[in-house]
Amino acid sequence: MAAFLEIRNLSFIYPEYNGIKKRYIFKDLSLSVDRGETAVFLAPPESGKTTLSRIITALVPRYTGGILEGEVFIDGKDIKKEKPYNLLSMAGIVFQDPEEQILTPRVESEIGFSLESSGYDYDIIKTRTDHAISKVQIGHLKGMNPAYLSGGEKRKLLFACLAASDPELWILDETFEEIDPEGRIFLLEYLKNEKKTVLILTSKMLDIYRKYCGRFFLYDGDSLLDEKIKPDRVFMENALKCGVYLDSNKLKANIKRLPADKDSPDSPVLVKASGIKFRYPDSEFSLNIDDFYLKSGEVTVLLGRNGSGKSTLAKIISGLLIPDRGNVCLDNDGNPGISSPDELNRNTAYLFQNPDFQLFLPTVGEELAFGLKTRRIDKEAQKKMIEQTVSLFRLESIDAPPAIMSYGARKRLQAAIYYLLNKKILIIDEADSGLSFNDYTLILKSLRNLDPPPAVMIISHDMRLSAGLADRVLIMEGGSLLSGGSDERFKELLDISMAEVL
Amino acid sequence: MFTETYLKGNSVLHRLDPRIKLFFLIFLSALFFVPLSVFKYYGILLFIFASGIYSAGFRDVLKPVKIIAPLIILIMLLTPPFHSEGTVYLAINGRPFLTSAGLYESFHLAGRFLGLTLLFYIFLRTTKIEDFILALRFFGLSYRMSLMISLTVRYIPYISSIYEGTLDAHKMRLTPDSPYISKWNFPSRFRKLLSVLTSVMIQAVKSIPALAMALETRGVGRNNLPGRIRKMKSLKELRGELILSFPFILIIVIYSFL
Repeated sequence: MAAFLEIRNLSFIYPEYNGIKKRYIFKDLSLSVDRGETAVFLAPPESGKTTLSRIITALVPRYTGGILEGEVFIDGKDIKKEKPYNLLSMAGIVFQDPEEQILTPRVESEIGFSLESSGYDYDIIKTRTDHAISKVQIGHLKGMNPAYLSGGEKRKLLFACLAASDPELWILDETFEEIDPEGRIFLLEYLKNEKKTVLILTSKMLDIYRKYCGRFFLYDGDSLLDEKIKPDRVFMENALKCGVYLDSNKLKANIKRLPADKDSPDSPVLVKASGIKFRYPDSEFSLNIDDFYLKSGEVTVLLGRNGSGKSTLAKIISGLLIPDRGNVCLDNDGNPGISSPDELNRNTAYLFQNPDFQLFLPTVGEELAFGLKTRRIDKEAQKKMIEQTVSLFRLESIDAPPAIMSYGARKRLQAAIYYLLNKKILIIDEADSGLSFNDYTLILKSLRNLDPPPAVMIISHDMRLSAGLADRVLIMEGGSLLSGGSDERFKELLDISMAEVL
Repeated sequence: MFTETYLKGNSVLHRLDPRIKLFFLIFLSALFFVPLSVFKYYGILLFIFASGIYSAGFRDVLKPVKIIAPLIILIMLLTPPFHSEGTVYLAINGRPFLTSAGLYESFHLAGRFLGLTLLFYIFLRTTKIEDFILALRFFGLSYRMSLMISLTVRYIPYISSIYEGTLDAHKMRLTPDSPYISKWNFPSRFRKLLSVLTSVMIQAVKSIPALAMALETRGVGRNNLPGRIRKMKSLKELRGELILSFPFILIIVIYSFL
């Protein structure tokens, strides 16, 4: 079968910036994907996946500068001679950060946007938009403003945009990480049935890819280590070494003791939320939580479909949202009582999906020193702590500018800031997107090992990752917590989540 | 998070064709620049306010009023001293400070400002931005210009949501040991605001090439004529709404000019 996407001897270098060394992102990279094939390009974060996705869609070096060598062909067409807007029917892309790609204030307008700029008549746009909505099963999002959607829902929306414009080649940059397990299966099934040519660029080998994908590339940041139709033992061992896969043996032992809705009885309850009711203005979604708690030193994993209210609950626990009813009590050194939002803010480390919200200083060193100012530590000790933290979190250098560091590096910096702040509650809200398994576990282990150990709450759709770390699993649906053990729906949803791993 | 101006609803104003609403918007705005008596101004203002309560609710209509209240107060305080005509109610050192003409003019200006604010607010509250742009395109606005307006409308709340997200993230950088900043400690509050605004600015600047990339991957830049994602009612379908709107216009004209 002829290759639909063909990359020959691709090399690329970004322009040099202060604190960021000039280096080859790719050197002599060659790969090809056949027509109708779903391929996975596995590589650790910061190894150039996003750059590759944007080279294929003619966005790089057009917007970034840099030196591009080698050739990229889509269906025999030389991409280096093309403009991105002329590739609409040939190649479509879903960006890693959906916020960067959403252009309109309405779901239907977003889906029909490419068709409108392609000059289609109203009736065709309407039919194809409705068809895409129905195919991707996002009818419940119709009429909504994308700004109100969860991270996973935004990705599904962009997926529907591609379904409407219907390009031959789909480039999906870390698209599946924040989509719930049911959604992943559905979308991969869709791609398979539509016989699309797909390149999934990811830093995590999800087990579900083995079932739906027909080609696997393993890239370690320097060279293409392996290419397989079906990943064999050697491939998986290399993936493990690159940090893009987790050892399933260790995990299965842990999974067997789940659902661990029975918590560890010895740990003290650190924070407790009771009778919580919350509703966003102009939204039909409402959160209703009768009873929720986190214990010191315990890892609680919160599962649930996209839009089920996980982040809303996390924001209430951290004092970022004030509930309409109910209260949150933090056990402050043995003095439990209703806590003010400010008190909750000061005791919580919230790892946001977007690390940029937190960064504002010109260098890594200054970002780390900022939080230490209030801890009354002398300058020499401060310097030593910062150096240790830079090394522990594998940050480029003290002088590196966060604004142009990679996404993964900025996330590690965000975690390093919290590491030095030593907070009691740690909330990790789908922060694993764009991070390797190794980076994620590094962040979590470093933050868990703080003294005293924090109460950890993880929101993630990655069961391979979450199950290996969880002491307790909770599931949310429609704004409520499902009770573990006896609840059939809880078991059903847990089974769906676990099926991917087991 | 205030991410868009449109408020879901099913009132007559929500359902009215955006072209007719746009006409009403221009027509009523123009009335505030016509030399009418202050009582007529406030009559029109009352009509707009009542329409707002009917379509968006009392609390919602008060939102813009609260925001512009300080400016209204300033208008009411600063306008009278510039008018010495009419009956003098208050004089300082023999210089008229508050006169009937000054009072009349300050009510005039405040009414105009309040009226225009409410008018545009209710229009945006009851009209989806896509419908508004579609109406503008009907009246001859180019595709590129309408895209620019649409993106501006999309990005103002986007920047505002970045601001809120950044504010939240910066709250998370506090510890129990961090000093509490009193609301009167302006230098500290300014420094805090500066750090938040720096993060927002970095992200806003970084989003510019990303926005350009997103636009090009979605076909912006092509030479073909763009299509239409939404369809407006034909003039035939609009007949009913036009006929029902006419008496309203007539009543307002009669009220204003007779």
